Amino acid sequence: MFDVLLSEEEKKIRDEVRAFVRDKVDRALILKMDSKEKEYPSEFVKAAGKENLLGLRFPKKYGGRGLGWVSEMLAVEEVGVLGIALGCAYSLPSIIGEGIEKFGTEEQKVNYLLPTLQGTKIGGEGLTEPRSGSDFFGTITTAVKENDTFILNGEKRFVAGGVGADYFLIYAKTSFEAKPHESLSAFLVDRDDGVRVEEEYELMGCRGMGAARIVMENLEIPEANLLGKLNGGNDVFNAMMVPERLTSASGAVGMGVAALEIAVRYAHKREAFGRAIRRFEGISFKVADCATELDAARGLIYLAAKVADTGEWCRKEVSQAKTFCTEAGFQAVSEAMQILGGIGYTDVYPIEHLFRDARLATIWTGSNEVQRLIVQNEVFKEILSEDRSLKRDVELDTPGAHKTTEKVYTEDPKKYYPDKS
Amino acid sequence: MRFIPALVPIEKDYRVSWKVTEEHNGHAVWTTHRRGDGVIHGTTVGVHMESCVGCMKCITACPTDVFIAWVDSTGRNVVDPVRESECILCLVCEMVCPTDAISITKAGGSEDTLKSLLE
Repeated sequence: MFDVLLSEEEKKIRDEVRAFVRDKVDRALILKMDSKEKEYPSEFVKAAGKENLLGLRFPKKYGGRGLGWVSEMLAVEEVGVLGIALGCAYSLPSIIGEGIEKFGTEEQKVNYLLPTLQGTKIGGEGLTEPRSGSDFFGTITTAVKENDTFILNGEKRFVAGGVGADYFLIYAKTSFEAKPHESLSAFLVDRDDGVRVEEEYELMGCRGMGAARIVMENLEIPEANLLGKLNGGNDVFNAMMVPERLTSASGAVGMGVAALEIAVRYAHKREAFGRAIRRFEGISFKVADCATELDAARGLIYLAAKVADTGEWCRKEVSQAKTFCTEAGFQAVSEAMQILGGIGYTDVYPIEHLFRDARLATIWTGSNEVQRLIVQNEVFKEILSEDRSLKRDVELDTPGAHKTTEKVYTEDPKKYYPDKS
Repeated sequence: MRFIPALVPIEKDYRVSWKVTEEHNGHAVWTTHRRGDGVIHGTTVGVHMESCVGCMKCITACPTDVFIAWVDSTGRNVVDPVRESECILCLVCEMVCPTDAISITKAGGSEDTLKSLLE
């Protein structure tokens, strides 16, 4: 992110994470994960936890550093250069942590949040079902109260850490009459409660995260593991979507930046027709456009992080950032591949890996199509509820403004029907 | 002469417009009063037996082994959705079926769930 906007504390944490990414992540781990190694990168998470780099914005007593959202976004962008899988492993404690920190009991914070941020307990998120991910409120997994337990039945799909996580944050339907947003609850479900892995997915990218379909069949979950209020899953979901989507945004920018830097160095050295290819506008303008889009993307992340820091409703800014940044990130990776030409399509350079990884970012954590639905909804709400007297009425600054009969918004379809009376 | 129904796509709203007239291998068998409509096996996963050409592509594609190969009463090789309760609604069978003989029940979700997502 741009230094001019950052505080000294923010620059310091960015540099600390940058050094961690440079020195403490074994190249062999990245290659192993991408080669369809499904084992969860627990050692990476543990190492980040040991350095106190997980969940930076959470209170120190639960393993965080009490920093702001901007710091966390800077950290995720730095980790993003490692690819989407490790970016995801780094972000999950922050995503799940948001739910536990905001809605959990003290016992849940001590038993789940603290070890998660210390990197000693791995959490997975069970949100998407085979029937849908984006249509979250149509969740069909159920939890039925029976004495002091809930009986959980259902399946969750594309669970990062489906293989490897120690526990899952699972959403289930707990009211069968109420409206969709008043009918879901969140639960902390230990793998040892009986969670079964039915399918380990072979993914195009984002490999090595144990993405799986998990099945819960008549699991008995203690009432103490209900996260937040009964039927209050909507609140947990809305809170978790902030880090879920913002980390997606930052990680994608990290991948785009990494690819662009490789492409810039390549274009500076690679020659064609007797000169470095950067001298051709076909190449150099791609660099200009990608760098501009990535900076614009960072601007949106910065804005969303600042709004999130105030604690105000920030769904529009978060969804805008998620959409724009994941598309800018993927575009930068794609253009970097174009700049490198054929060699960029091989594993001699890591662009093809980043390409496969970055492609996922526009799909997961709420597809960009759903983000656009959210953004337009927020924009309509915002503009239509505005007090128009506070601004100049620009609609009147035109010669024909007085022609009110021409300002037609609807007409009776039967207006010209023959009169039968 | 035996009546051979045309190879037509499965009627998507059969769960509303057809009737369950018998059970087979743990799933419902749906029919209509019209002679040429044929029969559909299954409710979550419906297979229109007259349209099924027994290519078995759905058996290969299904991640949860919903289908088995089956020879119907007329001696035709078809598939039967005997484990329809295992269906995860991924729709891959619908996609690979060359004759549109399969219909998967609609997943949950509605205008209400969209509203919940946006409000």
